[in-house]
Amino acid sequence: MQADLETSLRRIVVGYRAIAAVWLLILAVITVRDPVTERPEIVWAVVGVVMVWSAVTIGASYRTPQVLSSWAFLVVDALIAAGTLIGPDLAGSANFYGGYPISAVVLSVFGRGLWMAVATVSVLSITAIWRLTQGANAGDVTVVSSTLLVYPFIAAPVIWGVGVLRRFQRLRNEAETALEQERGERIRAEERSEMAAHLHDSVLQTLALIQRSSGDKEAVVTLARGQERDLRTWLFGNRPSVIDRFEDAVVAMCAEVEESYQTPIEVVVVGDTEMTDQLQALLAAGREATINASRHADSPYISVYAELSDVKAELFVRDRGRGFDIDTVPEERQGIRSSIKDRMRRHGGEATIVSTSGVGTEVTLKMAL
Amino acid sequence: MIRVFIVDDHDLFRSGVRSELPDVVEVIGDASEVEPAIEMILDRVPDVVLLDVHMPDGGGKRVLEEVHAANEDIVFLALSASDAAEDVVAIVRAGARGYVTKTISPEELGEAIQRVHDGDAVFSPKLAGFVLDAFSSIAIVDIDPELDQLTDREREVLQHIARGYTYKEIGERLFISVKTVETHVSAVLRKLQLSNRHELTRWATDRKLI
Repeated sequence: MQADLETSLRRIVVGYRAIAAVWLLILAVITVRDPVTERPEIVWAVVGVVMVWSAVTIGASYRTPQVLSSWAFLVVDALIAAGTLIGPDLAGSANFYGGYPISAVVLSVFGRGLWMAVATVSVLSITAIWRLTQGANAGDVTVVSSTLLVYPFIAAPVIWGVGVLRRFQRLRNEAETALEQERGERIRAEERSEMAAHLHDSVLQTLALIQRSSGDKEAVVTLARGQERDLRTWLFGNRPSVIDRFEDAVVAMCAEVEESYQTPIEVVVVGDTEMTDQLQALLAAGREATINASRHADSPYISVYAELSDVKAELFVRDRGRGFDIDTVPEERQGIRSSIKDRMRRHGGEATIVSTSGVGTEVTLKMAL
Repeated sequence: MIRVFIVDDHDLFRSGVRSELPDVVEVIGDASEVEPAIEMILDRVPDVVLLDVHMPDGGGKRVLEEVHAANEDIVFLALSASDAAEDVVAIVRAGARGYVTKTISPEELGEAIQRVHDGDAVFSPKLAGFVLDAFSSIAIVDIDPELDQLTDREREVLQHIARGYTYKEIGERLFISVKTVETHVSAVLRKLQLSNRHELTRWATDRKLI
């Protein structure tokens, strides 16, 4: 974006230089034909220098724009502009420099800003003062004194305007960078919590199982191996998506949990569709709820019911176990908060948990599709 | 005392049910094959027959059809271990008053027997799911719109059954009496049995992989 503003400014500045050169040429032709002019060859010499220099400026702006910002170039530019001011005095003619000196002021503002502009304006003003006292046009006080004043007057708004434009551009760039940065951080944070949720679901659960069955060497090895396989697919392959239909995925999830925790699960699925990321998240949250019920509820069996329609997906996990008080679950027990509620929220759904002591718990997961 | 007859080819299940059923139920006989089952049921005239869906020689459906051909009053409650949709829907459409899975607890089985004996219908969560699925996934192009659609209330009741709620719990949750819940389930059963669209059967057979 910065480049765009600078390119536009440069086009304006160089365009003005071209117009000023043509303007000077027209005035010079008129001046040469004027019988008052004593030395027309001086006029032609000034026109020649201005034409060549303008061509250099335009050429540089296309090939090596950074040259327009160099001190040396701008100093030469200011001196040539001053030369066009003295030209009429040397040629003994009427003024023919037109807007050319102003194009040097504008170029210096663009190239190096305030101080170069002050320098250029000073050079031009000093030249104008010299003309007022020494030159062939010294008598023409009105014209020469207005020349003296015009450069600061024009330089001021140009400096101010360009400064404002550039400051706005900078602020905008900063805001955009900040936004970009924040977006990146948010994506990373989401990835991280997705990862944490996954680790919680799989690794921490497996570790808990291993601790519980630490006496049974074979069981420990089986659990560890299964977990390793799962972690590998998750880290190095794509996220697990072996089963591509929702119904199959729910049934498989229940079978897997039933196998791991030995609590019978009655699963009913109504409706079916291709798995999506959203449904995958619903399933992952449902899996966590089912595991919680298997581990903590002490229920004879668990009911899992999933229903899909065109507009929404719902999953209910119900146990007839001991129930619990949701408010007393400590923060560090991540299960409900991160794996169920946050995950549902991240994917545009919601989770409600209703638990009654001694009656059981039902986790309701809903998602608009 | 409800007089019950058991038809199942698994000896273990028969003896298990016999010993576990609550006292309100009296088992007056059992059979493990289709032909003897039909004969004995028609002879002893039980109140309720517990019928295994999966039996050799034409299965439970044949028992049900031949018994009903001779005596319409005998009530059937279907049981199975596997929940294959086409079998379950077929046996309910053939005239069973209800369907439960074999994982059901003895007390719940006792309640289910009581319920079908009282003339109400019994749906397992699985069957409720099947019915919801069938009635929502089949295009409605049929002759009798009243039979081809579930009301919102019926749908709600079925969803609660599928979620694992008992009739009593459903009544409490929906602020209706247990009797009303039973009425809704019976209405659904009637629709399932009377709706004469071929799609229902085809839907069930399409879903072999349950």
